Amino acid sequence: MKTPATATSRRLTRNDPNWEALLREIQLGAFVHEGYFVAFPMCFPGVTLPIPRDESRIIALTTDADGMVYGATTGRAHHVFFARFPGTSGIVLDLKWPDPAARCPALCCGPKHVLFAANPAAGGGRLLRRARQGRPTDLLHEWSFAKHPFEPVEDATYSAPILDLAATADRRFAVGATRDEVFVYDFAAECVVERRSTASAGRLCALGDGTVLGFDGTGALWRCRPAERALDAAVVKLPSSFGDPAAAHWAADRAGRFVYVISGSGTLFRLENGALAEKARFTVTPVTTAAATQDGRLFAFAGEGIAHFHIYDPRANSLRELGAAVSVFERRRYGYAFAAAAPGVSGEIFFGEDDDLGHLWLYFPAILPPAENGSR
Amino acid sequence: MKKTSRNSGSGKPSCAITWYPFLQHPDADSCWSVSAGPDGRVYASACCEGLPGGTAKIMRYNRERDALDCLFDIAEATDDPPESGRATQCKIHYGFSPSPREGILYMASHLSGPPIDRPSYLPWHSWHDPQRCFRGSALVAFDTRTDRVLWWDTLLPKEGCRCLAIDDERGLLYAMSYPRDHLFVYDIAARRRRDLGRIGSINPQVLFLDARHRVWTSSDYGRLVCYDPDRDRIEVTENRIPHDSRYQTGWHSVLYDAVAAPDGEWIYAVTWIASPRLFRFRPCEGEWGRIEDLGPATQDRDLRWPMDTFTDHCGGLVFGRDGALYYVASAWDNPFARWDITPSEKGVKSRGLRGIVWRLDPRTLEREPVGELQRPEGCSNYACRGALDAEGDLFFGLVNHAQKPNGIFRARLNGVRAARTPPPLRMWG
Repeated sequence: MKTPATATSRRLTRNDPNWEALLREIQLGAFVHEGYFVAFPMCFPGVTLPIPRDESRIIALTTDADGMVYGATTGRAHHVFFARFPGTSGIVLDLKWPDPAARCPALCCGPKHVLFAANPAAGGGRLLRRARQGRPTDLLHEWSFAKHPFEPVEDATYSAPILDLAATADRRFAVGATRDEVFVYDFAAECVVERRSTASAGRLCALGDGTVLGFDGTGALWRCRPAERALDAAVVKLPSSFGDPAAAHWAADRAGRFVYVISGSGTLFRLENGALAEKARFTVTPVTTAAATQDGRLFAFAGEGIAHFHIYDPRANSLRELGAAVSVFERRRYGYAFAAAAPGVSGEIFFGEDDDLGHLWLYFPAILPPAENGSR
Repeated sequence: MKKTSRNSGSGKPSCAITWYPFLQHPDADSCWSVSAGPDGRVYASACCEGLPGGTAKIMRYNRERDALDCLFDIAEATDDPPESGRATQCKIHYGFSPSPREGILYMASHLSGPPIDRPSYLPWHSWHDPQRCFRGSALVAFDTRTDRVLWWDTLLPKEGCRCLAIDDERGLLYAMSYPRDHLFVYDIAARRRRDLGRIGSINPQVLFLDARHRVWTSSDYGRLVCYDPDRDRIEVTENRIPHDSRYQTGWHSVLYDAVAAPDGEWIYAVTWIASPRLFRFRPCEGEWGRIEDLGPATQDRDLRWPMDTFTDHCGGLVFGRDGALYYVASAWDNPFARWDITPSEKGVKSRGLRGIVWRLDPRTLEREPVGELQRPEGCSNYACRGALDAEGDLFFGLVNHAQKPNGIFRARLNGVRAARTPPPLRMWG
């Protein structure tokens, strides 16, 4: 950037009629101006040490049926954690990952336990499970915490790293993928019940009908129907401009009614009637994570260095920038990089900060006025 | 335009203080840095952050002329013209670092000055806008032997440099970026930077080094943070920086200024928050050093109203030839007068805001006022940095956006004897 960008010799003065409007645009547009963020530290504040600053980059998040949060971090060592905020809680609890050298790229929740993908430093991948953390009691007054062991899942080791895991909408199954294999885990049987040799790339997405979608790496999506132990190849063809599926991000509301995918180049698609319909394009890229609320709004972070928060509203079919993330509750912190998201049960969205001294961020979207016809 | 005042303080020693405005840069609304160069002369940054399209100029005190020389404009030297439409090369914040080994004064620019056709600049707003975004902190190598800019490089793309430090022995510069608050290391020989990681959200205002080549700064929550190049890791230590426990939690008790004592053991420092706290730190005692709280630097006040950052302030820490620590701390009659909306109490002068030069004896830790910074117009309480030149004079940079041009003060000490061990050259901004 050695040459002038927009060379002009006219100096703006305070008497200029545009001064106040420009000032307002800059000051109000810099930070999120719709909804609120809360940055929560990676600890039970005042009670436990936080996950170390250079081990706290959050890369995976999921919520269980009750809205409790599980996540994974990376850095000099890897951690998995539990978090809860309703009632008298307010905690992030480091669950003591048994192999700190193993990256946990994905995790998902069944009715009784949580399934973790573990990619050891030596290569390959395997599955671990752990009982769900119980609901903490009164974290303002007195507390105790059960420390459940992590258990390896039998016959669930893979020659390639696990790319992703997704629990089905009914939470009976989890579907996982490596670059050359798709597998199904049965939460009731507590074992892998199906392994299928299939090319896969990137992340997975659970739909409301109990199926899971994944990229096949050759320009199409496969669909797994775990209840039938079935895998349908090339059910959706990707646009030719879609790019590398490993760079794409899914976002779906908790019911799986609104399903979006954003390509690595920033094109937003919605899954409609079994096909991808282009909805908008991000001018700032790359998109690093996204999530959707039950009313169909999509919220996403995009851009390197200082990510800007975006909203896509399907009612207006509009994609807008909302500014950079900042928290003035719990922690006064700027949020610059995010790599994971999961919708909560009360309309909030959890975002995982992919940065040194990463925090778990809660976003409370603005409540929309009812549509003119009274329906939403 | 020079004005000299003689202050005797409460006793001995005294100092004669002279004001040197940046006459060659009438738009300079702040001086964010003053530093001794490797040549023993004193350099200052004449910054311009309030005027759209404003740029910074580098000044140097000329003893023969008893005046300031204007050396160069940072924007011109780094090919980043004020008409670019981008945020400008408006200042050197705490970004001077001398290299005695090379005879070079390194300086790194900072942001905040708005583009020429904009009223304001916020890096978060314009980060992804190539038309508006700050090009980046420019690192300038100024040869003090030839008075030439030898080279420049972009130190921190898109970001400003809040503060700079040099490990001259290893040929490394350390920089704290703004707004992302990342610590960077720059290899001077290779002209290569490396991002060492993020510290937090509130920029610490100084980096300092210890004898083990470790780099120290502070976290958002008032803990000392250490980067050890041998471990290649930023670590938050258990050392808590002092704060006023009546109403503060440690949040925002970040480092404002720090200076190495002549004994080679202690670092004297002050915090960047209301009720600034003086303390000293012995970094090489044990693994993570030891802090001693030296108490508040400024007077008490009503704690029910938040204090203006530019009112309750302490800075300009510098060791004199006599081995004593000198610094400038605010004093006031009514700290809130500026914001009291009454017809009779308006304006900066009405709060009686002053900048008092203090002398602290490191042996006894006793302190006494020895002078007051006074300029012909406006208040002079906010000293950014202090510097000691080869002749033993002290210099303090002044920030006061209300009156232009800003400038620096020279404080000539009277009645002091030189200590056996001279103060070390300050290696950080």
